[in-house]
Amino acid sequence: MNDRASMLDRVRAADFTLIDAGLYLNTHPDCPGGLDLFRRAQSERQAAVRAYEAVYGPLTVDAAQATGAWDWTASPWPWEMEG
Amino acid sequence: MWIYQKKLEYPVRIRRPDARAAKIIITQYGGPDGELGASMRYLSQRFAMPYRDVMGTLTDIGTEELAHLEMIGAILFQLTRDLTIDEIKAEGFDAYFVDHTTGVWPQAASGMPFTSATFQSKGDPITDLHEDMAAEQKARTTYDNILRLVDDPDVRDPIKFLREREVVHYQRFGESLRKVQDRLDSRNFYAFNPAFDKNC
Repeated sequence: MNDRASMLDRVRAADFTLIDAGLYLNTHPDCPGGLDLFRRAQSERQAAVRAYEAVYGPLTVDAAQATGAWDWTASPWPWEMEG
Repeated sequence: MWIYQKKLEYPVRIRRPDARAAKIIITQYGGPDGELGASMRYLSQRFAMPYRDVMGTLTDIGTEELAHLEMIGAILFQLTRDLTIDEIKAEGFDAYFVDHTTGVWPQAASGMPFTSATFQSKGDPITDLHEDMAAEQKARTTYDNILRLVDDPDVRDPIKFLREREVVHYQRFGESLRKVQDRLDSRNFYAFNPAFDKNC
Protein backbone atom coordinates (compact mmCIF):
# COMPACT_ATOMS: atom_id res chain seq x y z
CA MET A 1 0.00 0.00 0.00
CA ASN A 2 1.41 3.40 -0.96
CA ASP A 3 1.64 6.47 1.26
CA ARG A 4 -1.38 8.05 -0.35
CA ALA A 5 -3.57 5.03 0.36
CA SER A 6 -2.38 4.73 3.95
CA MET A 7 -2.89 8.45 4.64
CA LEU A 8 -6.35 8.22 3.10
CA ASP A 9 -7.09 5.14 5.22
CA ARG A 10 -6.28 7.23 8.30
CA VAL A 11 -8.89 9.82 7.25
CA ARG A 12 -11.33 7.05 6.40
CA ALA A 13 -10.93 5.34 9.76
CA ALA A 14 -11.59 8.56 11.68
CA ASP A 15 -14.49 9.42 9.40
CA PHE A 16 -16.03 5.99 9.84
CA THR A 17 -15.82 6.33 13.61
CA LEU A 18 -17.70 9.63 13.31
CA ILE A 19 -20.39 8.02 11.11
CA ASP A 20 -20.84 4.97 13.32
CA ALA A 21 -20.56 6.70 16.71
CA GLY A 22 -22.81 9.50 15.44
CA LEU A 23 -25.55 7.02 14.51
CA TYR A 24 -25.17 5.36 17.89
CA LEU A 25 -25.40 8.70 19.69
CA ASN A 26 -28.65 9.55 17.88
CA THR A 27 -30.29 6.80 19.93
CA HIS A 28 -27.92 6.87 22.97
CA PRO A 29 -27.29 10.62 23.42
CA ASP A 30 -26.19 10.33 27.06
CA CYS A 31 -23.61 7.55 26.68
CA PRO A 32 -20.27 8.87 28.06
CA GLY A 33 -18.23 6.24 26.17
CA GLY A 34 -19.93 7.12 22.89
CA LEU A 35 -19.42 10.84 23.41
CA ASP A 36 -15.77 10.28 24.28
CA LEU A 37 -15.21 8.12 21.18
CA PHE A 38 -16.84 10.78 18.99
CA ARG A 39 -14.72 13.58 20.48
CA ARG A 40 -11.48 11.67 19.94
CA ALA A 41 -12.45 10.89 16.33
CA GLN A 42 -13.21 14.58 15.70
CA SER A 43 -9.68 15.68 16.51
CA GLU A 44 -8.11 12.64 14.80
CA ARG A 45 -10.08 13.40 11.61
CA GLN A 46 -8.99 17.02 11.64
CA ALA A 47 -5.32 16.04 11.92
CA ALA A 48 -5.62 13.25 9.32
CA VAL A 49 -7.37 15.50 6.77
CA ARG A 50 -4.82 18.28 7.26
CA ALA A 51 -1.92 15.84 6.73
CA TYR A 52 -3.52 14.26 3.63
CA GLU A 53 -4.57 17.49 1.95
CA ALA A 54 -1.12 19.07 2.43
CA VAL A 55 0.39 16.38 0.20
CA TYR A 56 -2.39 15.03 -2.06
CA GLY A 57 -4.84 17.88 -2.55
CA PRO A 58 -8.37 18.69 -1.41
CA LEU A 59 -10.85 16.13 -0.08
CA THR A 60 -13.67 18.71 -0.16
CA VAL A 61 -14.03 21.59 -2.59
CA ASP A 62 -13.76 24.20 0.17
CA ALA A 63 -10.12 23.08 0.63
CA ALA A 64 -9.25 23.56 -3.07
CA GLN A 65 -6.42 25.88 -4.11
CA ALA A 66 -7.81 28.98 -5.83
CA THR A 67 -4.40 30.57 -6.24
CA GLY A 68 -2.36 29.35 -9.19
CA ALA A 69 -3.76 26.18 -10.78
CA TRP A 70 -7.19 24.79 -9.78
CA ASP A 71 -6.46 21.48 -8.02
CA TRP A 72 -9.96 20.11 -7.24
CA THR A 73 -10.06 18.12 -10.48
CA ALA A 74 -6.32 17.45 -10.75
CA SER A 75 -6.16 14.47 -8.38
CA PRO A 76 -7.78 11.07 -9.15
CA TRP A 77 -11.47 10.43 -8.39
CA PRO A 78 -12.27 7.74 -5.81
CA TRP A 79 -13.47 5.07 -8.25
CA GLU A 80 -10.20 5.15 -10.22
CA MET A 81 -8.80 2.34 -8.03
CA GLU A 82 -7.68 4.92 -5.47
CA GLY A 83 -10.36 3.93 -2.95
CA MET B 1 -27.46 20.16 1.67
CA TRP B 2 -24.45 17.97 1.10
CA ILE B 3 -20.70 18.39 0.64
CA TYR B 4 -18.84 15.81 -1.45
CA GLN B 5 -15.77 14.12 0.01
CA LYS B 6 -13.31 12.93 -2.62
CA LYS B 7 -12.97 9.42 -1.16
CA LEU B 8 -14.98 6.23 -0.77
CA GLU B 9 -16.38 5.29 2.64
CA TYR B 10 -14.48 1.99 2.31
CA PRO B 11 -11.86 1.28 -0.38
CA VAL B 12 -12.69 -0.56 -3.63
CA ARG B 13 -9.64 -1.98 -5.43
CA ILE B 14 -10.62 -4.67 -7.94
CA ARG B 15 -7.82 -5.96 -10.16
CA ARG B 16 -9.69 -8.46 -12.36
CA PRO B 17 -12.68 -7.45 -14.54
CA ASP B 18 -15.67 -9.79 -14.28
CA ALA B 19 -18.80 -8.86 -16.23
CA ARG B 20 -20.75 -11.78 -14.76
CA ALA B 21 -20.25 -10.42 -11.23
CA ALA B 22 -21.18 -6.89 -12.41
CA LYS B 23 -24.49 -8.21 -13.79
CA ILE B 24 -25.38 -9.48 -10.31
CA ILE B 25 -24.01 -6.65 -8.17
CA ILE B 26 -25.75 -3.94 -10.24
CA THR B 27 -28.92 -4.89 -8.35
CA GLN B 28 -27.51 -3.07 -5.31
CA TYR B 29 -27.13 0.05 -7.47
CA GLY B 30 -30.68 0.31 -8.80
CA GLY B 31 -32.57 -2.83 -7.77
CA PRO B 32 -35.51 -3.34 -5.39
CA ASP B 33 -33.32 -3.53 -2.24
CA GLY B 34 -30.46 -1.41 -3.56
CA GLU B 35 -28.61 1.58 -2.16
CA LEU B 36 -30.33 4.19 -4.34
CA GLY B 37 -33.77 3.13 -3.18
CA ALA B 38 -32.56 2.97 0.42
CA SER B 39 -31.21 6.51 0.29
CA MET B 40 -34.33 7.94 -1.37
CA ARG B 41 -36.58 6.09 1.11
CA TYR B 42 -34.92 7.54 4.24
CA LEU B 43 -34.23 11.00 2.85
CA SER B 44 -37.89 11.27 1.77
CA GLN B 45 -39.41 9.82 4.94
CA ARG B 46 -37.60 12.25 7.23
CA PHE B 47 -39.77 15.24 6.30
CA ALA B 48 -42.85 13.72 7.96
CA MET B 49 -40.92 12.47 11.01
CA PRO B 50 -42.00 14.53 14.05
CA TYR B 51 -39.02 13.67 16.33
CA ARG B 52 -35.63 15.32 15.92
CA ASP B 53 -33.54 12.33 17.01
CA VAL B 54 -35.22 10.10 14.39
CA MET B 55 -35.01 12.89 11.76
CA GLY B 56 -31.28 12.73 12.45
CA THR B 57 -31.04 8.97 12.01
CA LEU B 58 -33.02 9.10 8.73
CA THR B 59 -30.78 11.92 7.47
CA ASP B 60 -27.53 10.25 8.53
CA ILE B 61 -28.39 6.77 7.24
CA GLY B 62 -29.88 8.26 4.03
CA THR B 63 -26.58 10.06 3.55
CA GLU B 64 -24.48 6.97 4.27
CA GLU B 65 -26.53 5.06 1.66
CA LEU B 66 -25.31 7.59 -0.95
CA ALA B 67 -21.76 6.67 0.03
CA HIS B 68 -22.72 3.01 -0.43
CA LEU B 69 -24.24 3.80 -3.85
CA GLU B 70 -20.88 5.31 -4.81
CA MET B 71 -19.03 2.18 -3.60
CA ILE B 72 -21.32 -0.06 -5.70
CA GLY B 73 -20.76 2.25 -8.68
CA ALA B 74 -16.99 1.96 -8.17
CA ILE B 75 -17.28 -1.85 -7.98
CA LEU B 76 -19.30 -1.91 -11.24
CA PHE B 77 -16.89 0.47 -12.97
CA GLN B 78 -13.85 -1.59 -11.97
CA LEU B 79 -15.51 -4.93 -12.83
CA THR B 80 -16.34 -3.75 -16.36
CA ARG B 81 -13.13 -1.83 -17.06
CA ASP B 82 -10.97 -3.08 -19.97
CA LEU B 83 -13.40 -5.83 -21.04
CA THR B 84 -12.96 -7.14 -24.58
CA ILE B 85 -15.94 -7.71 -26.88
CA ASP B 86 -15.28 -11.46 -26.66
CA GLU B 87 -15.47 -11.32 -22.84
CA ILE B 88 -18.63 -9.20 -23.02
CA LYS B 89 -20.27 -11.84 -25.22
CA ALA B 90 -18.93 -14.84 -23.32
CA GLU B 91 -19.97 -13.46 -19.91
CA GLY B 92 -23.50 -12.55 -21.04
CA PHE B 93 -22.95 -8.79 -20.69
CA ASP B 94 -24.06 -8.10 -24.29
CA ALA B 95 -27.69 -7.24 -23.46
CA TYR B 96 -26.58 -4.53 -21.00
CA PHE B 97 -23.76 -3.43 -23.30
CA VAL B 98 -26.04 -2.69 -26.24
CA ASP B 99 -27.99 -0.13 -24.17
CA HIS B 100 -25.29 1.34 -21.92
CA THR B 101 -21.86 0.22 -23.25
CA THR B 102 -20.04 -0.01 -19.88
CA GLY B 103 -21.73 3.06 -18.38
CA VAL B 104 -23.19 2.60 -14.90
CA TRP B 105 -27.02 2.82 -14.91
CA PRO B 106 -29.44 2.06 -12.05
CA GLN B 107 -31.28 -1.18 -12.73
CA ALA B 108 -31.98 -4.50 -11.01
CA ALA B 109 -30.07 -7.67 -11.88
CA SER B 110 -33.20 -8.72 -13.81
CA GLY B 111 -32.89 -5.59 -16.01
CA MET B 112 -35.83 -3.79 -14.35
CA PRO B 113 -35.07 -0.03 -14.27
CA PHE B 114 -34.75 1.77 -10.94
CA THR B 115 -38.17 2.67 -9.59
CA SER B 116 -39.56 4.36 -6.48
CA ALA B 117 -42.35 1.76 -6.60
CA THR B 118 -40.14 -0.51 -4.44
CA PHE B 119 -40.28 1.77 -1.37
CA GLN B 120 -42.72 3.85 0.64
CA SER B 121 -42.87 7.17 2.39
CA LYS B 122 -46.09 6.61 4.31
CA GLY B 123 -46.16 9.68 6.53
CA ASP B 124 -46.51 7.55 9.69
CA PRO B 125 -43.43 7.06 11.91
CA ILE B 126 -44.31 3.52 13.06
CA THR B 127 -45.14 2.35 9.54
CA ASP B 128 -42.05 3.95 7.99
CA LEU B 129 -39.64 2.61 10.64
CA HIS B 130 -41.01 -0.91 10.24
CA GLU B 131 -40.41 -0.60 6.49
CA ASP B 132 -36.89 0.68 7.16
CA MET B 133 -36.02 -2.30 9.37
CA ALA B 134 -37.35 -4.68 6.70
CA ALA B 135 -35.41 -2.80 4.02
CA GLU B 136 -32.13 -3.27 5.90
CA GLN B 137 -32.81 -7.00 6.23
CA LYS B 138 -33.70 -7.31 2.53
CA ALA B 139 -30.45 -5.58 1.60
CA ARG B 140 -28.54 -7.84 4.02
CA THR B 141 -30.04 -10.93 2.35
CA THR B 142 -29.08 -9.54 -1.07
CA TYR B 143 -25.47 -9.06 0.06
CA ASP B 144 -25.50 -12.60 1.52
CA ASN B 145 -26.64 -13.87 -1.89
CA ILE B 146 -23.93 -11.86 -3.68
CA LEU B 147 -21.34 -13.43 -1.33
CA ARG B 148 -22.70 -16.87 -2.30
CA LEU B 149 -22.22 -16.06 -6.00
CA VAL B 150 -18.90 -14.16 -6.11
CA ASP B 151 -15.48 -15.66 -5.27
CA ASP B 152 -13.00 -12.81 -5.94
CA PRO B 153 -11.70 -11.52 -2.55
CA ASP B 154 -11.22 -8.02 -4.07
CA VAL B 155 -14.99 -7.90 -4.63
CA ARG B 156 -16.06 -9.77 -1.49
CA ASP B 157 -14.17 -7.41 0.84
CA PRO B 158 -16.20 -4.21 0.15
CA ILE B 159 -19.40 -6.30 -0.18
CA LYS B 160 -18.80 -7.66 3.34
CA PHE B 161 -18.38 -4.11 4.64
CA LEU B 162 -21.70 -3.09 3.04
CA ARG B 163 -23.42 -6.17 4.50
CA GLU B 164 -22.24 -5.25 7.99
CA ARG B 165 -23.64 -1.73 7.63
CA GLU B 166 -27.10 -3.19 6.89
CA VAL B 167 -26.95 -4.98 10.23
CA VAL B 168 -25.94 -1.79 12.08
CA HIS B 169 -28.62 0.28 10.35
CA TYR B 170 -31.26 -2.33 11.25
CA GLN B 171 -30.18 -2.00 14.87
CA ARG B 172 -30.39 1.81 14.83
CA PHE B 173 -33.83 1.81 13.16
CA GLY B 174 -35.04 -0.69 15.80
CA GLU B 175 -33.87 1.67 18.55
CA SER B 176 -35.56 4.57 16.73
CA LEU B 177 -38.83 2.65 16.63
CA ARG B 178 -38.56 2.03 20.37
CA LYS B 179 -37.93 5.74 20.97
CA VAL B 180 -41.01 6.63 18.90
CA GLN B 181 -43.15 4.13 20.79
CA ASP B 182 -41.89 5.48 24.13
CA ARG B 183 -43.58 8.78 23.22
CA LEU B 184 -46.93 7.19 22.33
CA ASP B 185 -49.80 5.67 24.30
CA SER B 186 -48.39 2.32 25.50
CA ARG B 187 -51.91 0.83 25.57
CA ASN B 188 -52.38 1.57 21.87
CA PHE B 189 -49.42 2.76 19.78
CA TYR B 190 -51.81 3.21 16.86
CA ALA B 191 -54.30 5.50 18.66
CA PHE B 192 -53.09 8.34 16.44
CA ASN B 193 -50.47 9.16 13.82
CA PRO B 194 -48.06 11.64 15.44
CA ALA B 195 -47.02 12.89 11.99
CA PHE B 196 -50.60 13.87 11.09
CA ASP B 197 -52.82 14.16 14.20
CA LYS B 198 -51.01 17.21 15.52
CA ASN B 199 -53.46 17.91 18.36
CA CYS B 200 -52.74 14.64 20.10
